[in-house]
Amino acid sequence: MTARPHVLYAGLHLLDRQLVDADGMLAGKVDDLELEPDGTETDGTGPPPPLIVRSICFGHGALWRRLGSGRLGSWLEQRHDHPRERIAHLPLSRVDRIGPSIVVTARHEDLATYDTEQWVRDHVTAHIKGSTHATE
Amino acid sequence: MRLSELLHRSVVDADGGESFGVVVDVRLVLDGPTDSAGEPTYRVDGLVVGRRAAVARLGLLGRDVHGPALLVRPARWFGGHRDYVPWTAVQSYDGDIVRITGRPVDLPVTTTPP
Repeated sequence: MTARPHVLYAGLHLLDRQLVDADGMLAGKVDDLELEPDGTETDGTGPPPPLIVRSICFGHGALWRRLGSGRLGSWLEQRHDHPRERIAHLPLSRVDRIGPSIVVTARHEDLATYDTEQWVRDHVTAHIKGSTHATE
Repeated sequence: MRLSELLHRSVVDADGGESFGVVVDVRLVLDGPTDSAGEPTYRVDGLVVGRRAAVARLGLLGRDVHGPALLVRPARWFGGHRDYVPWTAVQSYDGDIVRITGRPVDLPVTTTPP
């Protein structure tokens, strides 16, 4: 059973909250939410159907879309959503706990937010003298 | 659609003649259809409407600040007035505008934040 409050304010309680993975590792921030109609049939002339939260979005693509660069953001998200790439969305069913941080049932290495960390490790930290074999 | 596409949209009446502010936040209630894990999803219950979106993100929701006394007055002043539009009153959300029927109501009493 997951721990979720009954009422939330999306901007205040979800956006920019810290993501924590299943092992307790920091995994970036929530950058956006995917909303979709709940499936209620409408005839197209009345009020819009209710919206439900389908997934949380994170990573460069979601952030660029949120900042207004939809084309670049979509491209980055599609790149991440390739089966062999990292995940840029997680369905709400994979959110284990919502509180001061958002705990998800995924490993931080599998999330799109890990890209920057990996890039810095490969291109910066790895070139610093003494950064490898620290225990030897 | 994305939550960010809903935030900051102008909220106007059905005729577009009266502006009530912009969407500063979205209230979610955990009573939507069940997901693949059999648990309820969050449903968009309504829109928080105000003039100062950035302040709302800081948690300064005006009337919800009850203390300490030193902070109450500045928080209510900075937070400005907040109204609420139940989703059932939303007529359409095209472009950058949300059209509603009727007028915004008082913000529902919030539960303890997470």
